[in-house]
Amino acid sequence: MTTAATETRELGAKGLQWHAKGTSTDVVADVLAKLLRQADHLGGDHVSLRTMNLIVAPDPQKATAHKATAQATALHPARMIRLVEHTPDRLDADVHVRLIELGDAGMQVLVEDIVITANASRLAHATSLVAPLLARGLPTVAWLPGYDHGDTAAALAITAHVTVFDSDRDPDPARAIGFAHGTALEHPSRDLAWLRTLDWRRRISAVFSTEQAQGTLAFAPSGDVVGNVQSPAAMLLAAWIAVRANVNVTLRPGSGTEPVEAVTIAGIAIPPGSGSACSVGMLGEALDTVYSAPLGYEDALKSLDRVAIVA
Amino acid sequence: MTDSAEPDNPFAADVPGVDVQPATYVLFGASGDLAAKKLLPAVYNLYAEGRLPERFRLLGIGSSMPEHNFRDHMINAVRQHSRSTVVDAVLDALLERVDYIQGDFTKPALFRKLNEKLTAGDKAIGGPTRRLFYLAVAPRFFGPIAQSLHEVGLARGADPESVLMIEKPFGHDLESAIALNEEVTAAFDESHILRLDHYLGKETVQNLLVFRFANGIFEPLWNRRYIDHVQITAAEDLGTGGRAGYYDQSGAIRDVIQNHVMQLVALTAMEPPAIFDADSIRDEKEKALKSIRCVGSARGQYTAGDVDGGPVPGYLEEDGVPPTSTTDTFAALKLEVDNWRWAGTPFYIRAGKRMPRRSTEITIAFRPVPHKPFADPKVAQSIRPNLLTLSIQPNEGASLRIEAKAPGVAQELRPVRMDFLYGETFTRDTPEAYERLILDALRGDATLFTRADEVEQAWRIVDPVIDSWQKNDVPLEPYIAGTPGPPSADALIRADGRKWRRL
Repeated sequence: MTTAATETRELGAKGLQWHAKGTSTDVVADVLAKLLRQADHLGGDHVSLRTMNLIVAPDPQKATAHKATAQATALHPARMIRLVEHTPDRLDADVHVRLIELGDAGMQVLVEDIVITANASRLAHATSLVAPLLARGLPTVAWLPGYDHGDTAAALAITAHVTVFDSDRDPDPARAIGFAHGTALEHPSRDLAWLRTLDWRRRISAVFSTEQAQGTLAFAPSGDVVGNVQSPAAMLLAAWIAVRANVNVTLRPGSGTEPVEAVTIAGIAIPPGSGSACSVGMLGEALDTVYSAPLGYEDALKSLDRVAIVA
Repeated sequence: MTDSAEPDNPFAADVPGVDVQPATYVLFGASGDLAAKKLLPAVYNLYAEGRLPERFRLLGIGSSMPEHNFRDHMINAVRQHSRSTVVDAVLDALLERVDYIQGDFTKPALFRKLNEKLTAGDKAIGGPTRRLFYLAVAPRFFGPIAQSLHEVGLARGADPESVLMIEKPFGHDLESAIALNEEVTAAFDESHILRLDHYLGKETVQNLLVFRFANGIFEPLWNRRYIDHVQITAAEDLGTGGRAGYYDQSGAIRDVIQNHVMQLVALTAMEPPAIFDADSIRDEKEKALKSIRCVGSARGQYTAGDVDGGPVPGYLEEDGVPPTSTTDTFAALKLEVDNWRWAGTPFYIRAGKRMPRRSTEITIAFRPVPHKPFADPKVAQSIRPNLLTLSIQPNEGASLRIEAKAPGVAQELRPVRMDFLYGETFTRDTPEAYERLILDALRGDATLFTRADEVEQAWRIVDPVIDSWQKNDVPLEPYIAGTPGPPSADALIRADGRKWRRL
């Protein structure tokens, strides 16, 4: 095992760092505790704060998960454990304890960023890799930034209180929906594709708050969603409309600018909203909802066969 | 399709928060500054997020702006001040629900026209709507507008129901507050008057009740036996900020202490409500305020100094401030709470401008341990009492200071803080306080609004202080901008062997 650590007498912008090749997670856990004690000893007007453990699964597609997690954890301070795959048969680790500034008064918060780099066979046992590193008494969220999730994702879904994934990232919607079925219906999950439809669902609900609009459902029991017919977000919204209003819904192609571009239910056009957020922002929203299960998602997922898709 | 004889909204159950009844939001002062900066953008954001009902209309009323200008005014206001990106199609759809009347708030003709517009508007959108009259106008218009609404049948007993929403100042002393309350309650039932104090929209303020009454470890300690004293600070680093005309008439005691700080005192001191509804909470707050009397005060006015790394002028040099003004820009009060829970445990409160930093917080200072069993006298002396601090702005959260042993062979103690931050730090794209309060008003939830008797009790506490200041019984002391207030404020608390939390 080779290790390297920065020696510092104050917790500056770079914070405290440690790196080792060929190590074990028990050693990493000890080092983390030591660095946190050292950071505390160095003092300064900072607070140690975490609201969750955030495990970031390996991303074979090299998606820009780092930016997403950095933004999300600035809103939800977390002990971040990032898993990275490499080919050598060993476990490497990087630990970084540093300060970030939260809020407009310049509150300094200590954050922990742990990177575990390991070969595929070790990552297949991701549960045992992350277990010694989790902060106790906090929810654990597993964020699956890619789409070809594999064994690591399945293992993390069992460990985590909540698994976050984005069906819309997968170029193969059938595979995405299959994964959602397999994971979301078995474990607490947040599919960003579903969260992305929230503004549309709010506006639909607002429109159908009148008896007049509700009455039209009996006379024109149909719905029409225009958007990206390859998008699970559009499919899920269409399925939700179908199951909730008990109407037939058709999903038609639009210009391709947004997952959902227009919705008409029983002849009533739903007014447009301010647009959907990108996946970077949506991770933050998913972390907002760690303690509250998404309403309607499972029913929508189970009702996808009620949507007629026009290619 | 639904088989039910009475249709219901099949989508509502999956989308919490969309429970606002059909409503018309009548905005008096729609062409003014508050409307442009806060209220119109708030309506846009609520609409864009689908939080408003399908049957919603905004009816603006302004005295100076012609009707043909209002549409452009609203577009510009939303584009400049919306917290979210403005989408043309959404704004266009909202504008279809917007109407405007130009008229004189003091003339009956305006209210007759308003009544006609409301009736026609309801007809156009297919049914009656609850009316929310929001008075973003000078306080002198509150009474006359309420009375005029009553005269055309839009106030007490109106069908559909009407609600009046007003924002501070609620009078400038007890007498004027009672007069204002009498004027508005002559037209509207008290339960239909929403007095807005935006501090009550803050997460920490709302969480204070949850913190106290949902955690078993705090409430047993929340009394004179375990708490030495309470400090509440509302410090701003800014000066008058272009409001010199208003501020010079009010000062720190009327602008902040009488309303915001007294609400914090009431929430800290109140007994547990039987149930968590608007009137139960407001009953307890009023009961707590009734027990309070002021037993000491200090006041100050800032002179030129340094804030945020640069020189700032003194209060008397600020634009719009009369050069001989004796307005307080800092006020500190010592309060006694005469009830079983708090007797002998003082509340020290202070508010000021041009302080070293912006900070609003409640600090609960616990009593020291009764016996210090450590052999080394230095160790025993180093033990500091526990402090619980609830931060309201700029960072909302809570912090508990406890003593802990420093690692090592020596018996050395060190205070450590356990912190909890949340609110704007934890929530992405936080809704403006006005969005929350407008939504609550549209829902008819009065929990976050102040009741007349609370307002009057708060004036009852501060009126004698203002009287004594006017008689110069308590001299106005200068303090240098960027410092935490005048020496007399330190003396006020030091006389009891205590000191202010450092700002």
